[in-house]
Amino acid sequence: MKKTLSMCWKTLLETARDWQLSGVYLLFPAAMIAMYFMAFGQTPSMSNWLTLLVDNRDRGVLGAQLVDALTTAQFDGQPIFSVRTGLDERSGRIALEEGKAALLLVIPADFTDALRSPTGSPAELEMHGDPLSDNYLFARSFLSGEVQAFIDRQTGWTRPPTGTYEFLPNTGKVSDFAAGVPGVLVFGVMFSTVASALMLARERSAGTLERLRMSGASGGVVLGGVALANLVMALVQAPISFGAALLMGFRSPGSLPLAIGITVLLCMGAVGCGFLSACFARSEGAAVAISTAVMTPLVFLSGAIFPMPRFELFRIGGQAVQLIDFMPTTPAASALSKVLLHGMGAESMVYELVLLVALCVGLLALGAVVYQRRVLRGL
Amino acid sequence: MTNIILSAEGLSKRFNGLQAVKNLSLNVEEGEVFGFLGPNGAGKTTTIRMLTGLLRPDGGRVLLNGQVMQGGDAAARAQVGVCPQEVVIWKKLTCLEQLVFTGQLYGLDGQTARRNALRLLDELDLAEKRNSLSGTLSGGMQRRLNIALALVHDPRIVVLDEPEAGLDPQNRVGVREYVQSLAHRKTDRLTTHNMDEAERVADRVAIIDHGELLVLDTPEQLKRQVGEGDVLEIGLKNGRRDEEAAQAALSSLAANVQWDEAGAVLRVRALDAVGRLAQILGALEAAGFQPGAVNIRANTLEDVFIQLTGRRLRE
Repeated sequence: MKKTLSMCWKTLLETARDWQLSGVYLLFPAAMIAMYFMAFGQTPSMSNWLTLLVDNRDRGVLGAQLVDALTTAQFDGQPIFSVRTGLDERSGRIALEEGKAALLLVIPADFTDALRSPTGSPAELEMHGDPLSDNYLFARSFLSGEVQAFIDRQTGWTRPPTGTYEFLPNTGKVSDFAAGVPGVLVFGVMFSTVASALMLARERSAGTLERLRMSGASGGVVLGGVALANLVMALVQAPISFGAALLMGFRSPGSLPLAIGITVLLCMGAVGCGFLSACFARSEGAAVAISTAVMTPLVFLSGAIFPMPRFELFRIGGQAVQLIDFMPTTPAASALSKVLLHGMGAESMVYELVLLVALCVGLLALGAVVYQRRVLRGL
Repeated sequence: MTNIILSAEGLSKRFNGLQAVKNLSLNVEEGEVFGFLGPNGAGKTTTIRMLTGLLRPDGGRVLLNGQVMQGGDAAARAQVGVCPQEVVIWKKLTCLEQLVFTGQLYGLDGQTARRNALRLLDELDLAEKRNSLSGTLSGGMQRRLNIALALVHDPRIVVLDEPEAGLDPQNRVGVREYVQSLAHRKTDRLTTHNMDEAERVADRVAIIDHGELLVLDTPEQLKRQVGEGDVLEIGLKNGRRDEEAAQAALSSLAANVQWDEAGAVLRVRALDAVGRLAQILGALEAAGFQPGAVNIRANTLEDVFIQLTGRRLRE
């Protein structure tokens, strides 16, 4: 154990003195959170992403009044749309194609006339957009309701109430930014895959791995020292990451120590992936390339960043087991969401925690065995 | 009586069908500087890796102090210190940190490792740089640190692979003197392409090629026994040029004779001609020649090496 601790201390000293590696290692998740905050954390309003383009051709006054109504329309106390006017239909279509707006509304020239006509002739509003875009579907849904309400007010027609909106418990409180924090944390922690692969590749390419072996350091000492050093780095990294999230307004109802424990566990799984990557890397450049190739699908296919289609393999005691559950990032992201977003305790995530521990231990063991066989035995 | 500390008995190793080392046997005595020479690809590194326990032989065995050394035997490895030809150091650690770290890996406690490290830094003129990151040291200093790393655990046998390579003359002399001083305390195994280095430092020299041990003896003995021999340029006072008479006079010494173009100087080439100078001059005088001034070019270890391994370039 003494030798392992010596190896760990030596790895920490080297990493600390390599300010580029240590900086990226410790600040990568915090930087990811900051970037995510810039993208989604400004306000919780839908108007951030529901941009409505209006081409108002109405010869009367009601078109402009409709635009005002849409600009001030609210849902749950927040503006629904970010309304832009003054564009012609062609410019509007280009903006739609470029994904800069959710929907283009064309108010016809006879809009006022049609609404004021005693015969009730129809007003043909045009709504352009990409039917496969969630933003378009959201915008159209809200717009239909708002336009209908406007027309009802203008025509004096009153409908009986059709229902009330009521939010489920614990919903409606999670902002887009907060919802993304667990996934972003998972992404950041998985950087340990690259870092640990790099540490081992550096020893190999510099020849110091052979010196370690000559000095009587077993594979367990070398890999155990590197894993321990990464564990220490993860224990420093996690509070920095959560601190950054707190600074940017993230508030979790759950246990912070539990969340830190999950990220540290995931870090160990990432280190196991790093060991496996290092088995095939003779240089530092190869280590970065291979470990990135390993890390990327683990992050993006886990459901941590965006939802994945369900592919249930089987059930154990009522618990559905999916294929992607066998990546450490999946149970980690799920457990982090439960604790950070919904305030659940460890008893509510037994499946995720057991799976995460098993996968992390398995990956570490597999990485160590393959590294021993492919690299250390050849020295 | 000499004490054999390291023995190789019939070592063999094959890589992908290529016989790297073939039935190699040798003994290294305690306290000697043992030169291990061979062209590129001769099997030196493979032999050393087997002798230091880093590589398991396909056949034969290695005995360290009479005990069979097993691959991965940490206790056995602790008796050997290896200084590779390339500088292998941790550039982000200070000199002291990496020496203490290496000592601890060899099983020393922290205090002993630190004490040994400080002594070595002092002996190798690195004391002032003990807290400097090794990546910031000059090439010569890095090479001395490389040697210190092989010695920090106080091994009985030290393997130095071309310790003078890439050094300036001052550093080269310093390292050479240090290696020679080590010989009084431990056994040095020196592997090198530098014949001058081996000739100056080694007590005994082994020359290996194609995985086989060709010769093993002291440099002096090898120079006497192998190669084209020493060259004596003997000025003749009476200017008599009689090649046949000269050859006949020296026939019992297996010498090769040749006149220069002017016919005033007789060139005699024979193994250990320098050692038999008086005998050669006596034989020439008896044959009626009058030898004068004598120039000597002694057989070198390089001549021995080239004689044994050939002039063909290796990969």
